[in-house]
Parts: sequence; structure tokens; C-alpha cells
Amino acid sequence: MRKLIIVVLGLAPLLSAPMGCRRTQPVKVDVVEEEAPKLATVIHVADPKATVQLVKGFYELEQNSWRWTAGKFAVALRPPRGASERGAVLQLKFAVADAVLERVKSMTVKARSGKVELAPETYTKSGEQIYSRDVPGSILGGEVVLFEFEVDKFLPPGAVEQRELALIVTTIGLELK
Amino acid sequence: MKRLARAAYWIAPPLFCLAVYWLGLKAWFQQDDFAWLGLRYDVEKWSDWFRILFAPMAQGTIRPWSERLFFIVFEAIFGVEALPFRIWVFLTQTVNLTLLSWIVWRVTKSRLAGFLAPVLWTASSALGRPMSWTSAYNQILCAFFLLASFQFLLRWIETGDERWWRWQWAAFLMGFGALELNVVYPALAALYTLACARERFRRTLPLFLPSALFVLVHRLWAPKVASGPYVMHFDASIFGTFLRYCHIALGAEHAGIIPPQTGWPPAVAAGVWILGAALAGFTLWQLARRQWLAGFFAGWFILTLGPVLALRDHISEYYLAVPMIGLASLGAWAAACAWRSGWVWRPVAAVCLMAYFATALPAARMVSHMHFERSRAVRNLVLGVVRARQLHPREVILLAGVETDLFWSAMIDNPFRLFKLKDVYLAPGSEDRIRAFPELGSVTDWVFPTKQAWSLLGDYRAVVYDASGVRLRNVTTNYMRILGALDTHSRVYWIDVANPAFERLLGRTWWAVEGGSRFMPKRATLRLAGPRSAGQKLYLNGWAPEKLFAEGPLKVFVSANGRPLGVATLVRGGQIFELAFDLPAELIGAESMEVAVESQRTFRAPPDVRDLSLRFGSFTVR
Repeated sequence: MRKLIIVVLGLAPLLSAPMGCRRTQPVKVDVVEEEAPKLATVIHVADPKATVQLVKGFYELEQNSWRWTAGKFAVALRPPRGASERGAVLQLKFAVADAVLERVKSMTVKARSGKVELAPETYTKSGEQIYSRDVPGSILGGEVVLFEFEVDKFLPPGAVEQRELALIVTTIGLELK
Repeated sequence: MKRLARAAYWIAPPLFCLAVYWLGLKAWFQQDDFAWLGLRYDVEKWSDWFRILFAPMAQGTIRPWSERLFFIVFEAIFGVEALPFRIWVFLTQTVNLTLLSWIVWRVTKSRLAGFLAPVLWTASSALGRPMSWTSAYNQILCAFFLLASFQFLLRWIETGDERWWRWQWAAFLMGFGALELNVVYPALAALYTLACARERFRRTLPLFLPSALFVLVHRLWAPKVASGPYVMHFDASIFGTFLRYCHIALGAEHAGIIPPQTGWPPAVAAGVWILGAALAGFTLWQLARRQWLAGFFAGWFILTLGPVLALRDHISEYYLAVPMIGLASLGAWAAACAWRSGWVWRPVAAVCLMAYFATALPAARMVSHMHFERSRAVRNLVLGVVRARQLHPREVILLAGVETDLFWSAMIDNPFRLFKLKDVYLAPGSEDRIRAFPELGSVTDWVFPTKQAWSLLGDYRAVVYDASGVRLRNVTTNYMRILGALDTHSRVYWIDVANPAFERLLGRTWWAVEGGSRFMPKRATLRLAGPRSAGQKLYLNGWAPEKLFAEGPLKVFVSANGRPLGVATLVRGGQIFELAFDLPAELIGAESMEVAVESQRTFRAPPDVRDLSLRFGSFTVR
């Protein structure tokens, strides 16, 4: 035991090893992926590959499956092939939280892309919901289309927490008509 | 065989520790580690060393051995390589376990208690963080100095040899460089001598002087914490905080580690309370028998927990790392006593131990796993950026997909400066996905402004990497397309046809991007805003391939909204050109106009089957 203690204490001076040493350290470098994935037509908010398409108004990922949104949020989607001719259906899958609905009583969701406004829908029950609207082919011709969503009522910052809380979103996507 | 058993007796607890915290050994850096790793870059002259090593830092802490010197020396020797740091932490803990085993064996006279104490301590989830996060090494090193001092005290009590007394002083004084908690050592020494060696008690009183001096100097020197979680509350809340720590110590809850919705099964929770009752009962029984050692073990828990009890708003499981030495020793002694007392108490001890291991071990592993996973994400981000910088030495690097945990575990302490990387920022909009903790720092300081990002990306002077996956992914093209879509309604007076951000403004006939430009077939279109004022012109910049001129000069027809702007004639090929056309007054202020360009002829370059004509770079209205 005594020997062990002596060895241990003998190691202590190593802590005061040379300090002025400033040699450049070799860096073990990891690989990065230089090839970006294709933009997605349907995105699950938990999919890391689609994170960049959640343009604004989405908060951090929770329980690896959903995200709270602010009252206004936007997502960029790649139109499905042929959508410019046939049009597509925009689907927003989300949940209305009890805590939010108790305060605001009803929530109206609407969406737009550029100058094209999609009809609003009002939700008065909590739980899982789908907002689904036809999108004309005329705005689906590009590589990517931006959809901006707006919820009329939500929990303002400070009501429950510091963030503005509206919907709990899981999936957003375009489906060919 | 006897030697083998003896070796196993000492080796088993460290091996158990290695097995429980294996992931901690493999963990990379995170959080405060980067601040400590970067310390030596703050040294400009020799006189800076004193400030760097001894000036009070975060929350007024002064821990030169366990944080500053430890990181400075290891970083100087091994660079930003985590394994040597982790090995050193494990080596220190191996010594701690051995010291604890020896101490408990000697004070209880039970080999079994000596064996169980380090095992029970290891299983405590309070060790999860110190064994997995290098910045929490202060707990491990503090335990080392306290245990070392105490074992020197025991040797002095046993032998009367004054050398051990002096060694105790040396270890005790060194301990102030590990953690402020070291101030409680004199109380531990005094309590032990009062309990078990009363004739030595008076000799321990001088030990209080350095502690008192340290407290005085610390109070005078360290900045006062006026707000935030580190404010000390010397009021009745201390009792509530103490009870909460008792809960955590017994495994009834795990502060900030296990989400509330994943609570323990009721049977296990009940087992935890049985364990608490058993420990309390054993202590009271021993005290009733005037076996004051039980009081010392309980006192170790209370005294070493004492300094953090005033931190009402900062209850952290790892603050129990050193106090748990007391409870582990008490538990080990209780188990050994039960074993000796025959078959009546043995099942009780077995049930208590099982209850403890059933709750503590999974939690300890979970904490370790959590830190390992977090450190791996941090590593992927930091080393990914290092690689990205190698690939893009001059561009600004914008990081998308960084969320709350990754930001506060990695970026806030600027790990990039360790690699001398500059111009690394969060992509615009990232602040939405990062929770603000103003007391820790500012997220917005890291976010690159949208307009500047747009400008740099347009000039190919920035790249965007997505950090939300396992590896960093270059998503510059996608990001620019999205920025382009965002910018749909602003007027565009300049188009780089090769830039993905402008794709949405190009007609369908353009060929794919080739080396920073695009070929067009015979005819191509694009959309630009109309001129802002009279006199502005449309400029076309491109390159004319020689093959187009096999039949002589080439005419280029340009129109805007169907109205011809003019015909330009290119005389020679194999060179760049700039064409300028007047814009009619009726287009002034137009949100958008369709510009059409048509070449007089095309050519083919087999085996390419495309019809090619001019190769364009940009279109500008100015």
C-alpha cells in the first residue's frame, strides 16, 4: 500500500510538466459529406436531412419526433415530378396541444406560397390534425417552393415559457394530385 | 491463490469502474472543456501565467490543478485529443477507489466493507458526470486529495509517525488547488478523531487555519455572484435542498437526467426508500451502541455536501460525487455487519444492495451514455468544421441545423479557436431552434445576418454545412435554392446564371451549370426586374466558343417582354464578351421582365449531343 501511494504521489509532478510548449498539434480530421441530399418533397421534421428546409419558425426537435412552431413558420419543399402540370396537395400534419387550446379556444391555420393564398381551416379540438389544400401547378414549376404558414392564435412568449407556441408539427409535404 | 485473491480484491473495484463508465473513457470534449483548452491562447507574456492559473474564473472558482493546469499541460502535450485526458481521470479515480478501499478496511476492520465501499461509490450516478466529462475532473481530484489526506491521518493515528502527519498537511494544502470543497477537510479530520481517536482531536485544530484563510481570501478576491443559478441562499431553503440531495443520493430521483415521464417502477422506488430506512436505522443503531464511526460516515456526507446546500437554484447530481464516499462507506459497513451477524440480516442486506444497484447503476450508465453521445455530436461538429475549412479555406462557413444542445455544448465556448478557425457562424434563422440562456451567453452573436449571407453566397464566398446529422453535410446549393425562394418577392437586378439561388429565375431551356457558367441552346430566357430609372441598360456577360464562328460573325437577338431590344454582332470566338442594350421607358419600375436571348446559330461538340451556343455568366440591369 505504501508503495502504491508513493507511485501515485510520484505521478503528481507530471501535472506540472512543461507549459511553454506550443507545438502545432496534428488534427485528426473527420469526413464531411460534400454532396447535399436532394431537397425533399415530404419532410418529417425529425429527419436531419430535411432540417435545412425548415426555413423559419420551427423550434428545436423534441423527443426526436416533433417540433413546436411559432405563430408563423415556413418550409421549403421540392415539388413532385409532374406537379407543375397536375398540381399537388399540400399536407401539414400537426397536433393541437391541450394547453394551447384551453387558452385560445380555436386556431385557424392558413398557408400561402408567393401570391397564392390557400384557404384557411379552423381547429377547435386538441389532438392530431391535418391541414390539406390543393396547390395549383402554376406555382410548382421551380426547383423549390416556399410555403408560409400562419396561425391566428397561439401562446405568446411568457405565457407558459419564453417561446411563442402554436402547433406541434410532425410532417409537411406535397403529394401529386 | 491467496495472492491472486488479494490482487483481485484491489483490482476488481477499478475494473468495475471501467466497466460502468467505459463510454466515459471514450468521451470527447464538450461545454466548458473548450474554455479550459483555450486557456493557453490567452497567455501573451509570462506575467499572464499567474492570472491564468489563479485568478477567480467562472462563478469565482479557483481550481488550478483540476482545471487550468490539467487542461493546459495535457493540451500542450496531446493537443485536442481527448483520450489522454480521459485516461488520466480514470487513473486518478483508480487511485481514489484504492484509497477508499484501504480506508474503509482500516476503520471498520472489515475486508468486505473495504471491498464494497468503492463498488457502491462507483455505482452511484453522482459519478456519472465526473467520469464522463473532463471539466468535472475537479470532483475526482478533490476526492483524491481528501482521501489521500485522510489516509495519511489514519496512518499517523495508527503509527504516531510524524511524517504521516506532514504528508497529510501537504495533501490537504494541495487539495485547495483542486476544488473549494477541500475547505471541509479539517472538519472531517476533527470529526473522525472525535469519533474514533479522541486523544488526537486537538492536533487537528490547526488544520482549520488554512481553510479559514482560504475562505477569507476567496470571499475577498472572487467576484460576488449577484444573479443566476449560482447565487447562494443562506436561509431555510438549505434544509429543502439537503432533503432533495438525500433523495438523489438514494436514487429516488435523478436531477436533470431522467425525464420525469420515465420514472422508476414503483417496486424499485419502494426499494430505494427501504434502502434509506435501512441506512438510517443502521446509523442510529451504531450510535446507540456508541460506535461513532457511523456518525463519521454520515458526517462525511453532510459536511462535504454542506458547501453546495446554499445553491438553492443549482441542484446538480454530480455535487454528490464526494459526499457519496460517506454514504458508500456507511452502506458497505452496514452490509459487512449484516453479513457477520448471520442469516437473519443477510437477506436484508442483499435486498438493500440489490435495490441500490438496480436504481443507481442504470442511472450512472445513462448519465455516462448521455455525455458520451453529446460529446460525439460535438466532436462531429468541431472536427467537421475543421475539415470543411480545409476544403474551403477562404469561404465563410455557415452552420445550419445546430440546435439547443449542440450549441450550448459546443459553440458557446468557441471550440474553433483551438484550431485557429475564423469565420464560422450559424446560418441565418438558426436562433429559432436554439433556446436562449442569457446567463450563459448570447446566441445571436453567432448568427450571420441574412443580407450578408445572401450576398456572400451569391459571390461564392460562403458555404453552408448542415450539422443536424451524424456528419456535417455541405448543403450550400440547397440552402441557396431556399434563400432564392425566400427572396421571390424582392426585385432582382443581377443574375449569376450558374448560381443555384437564381435557378428559379431562369427559363427551362438553359443547360446545366459548367464551371461557373451555363451554355444556352439557340434560345433561353430569364426574369429580371425592370430598370429603376431612365438610362439604365441590360448587360450580358459571357464567353463565345470559337466553333460558333465557323460560318462567320454571330448575331445575338435580345428582347424584353417580347419587345426587341436590339441585335448585337460578335465577330470573333474564343473570348469573353459583354453586350449592352438600352431598356425602353415602359419597363422602368417593372417588378419583373422576361429577357429572351437568341443566338443566330448553334453547334455540337461530339460526343455531346446538345445544341450549344453562347456560354453566359451574368445578366445585369444597371
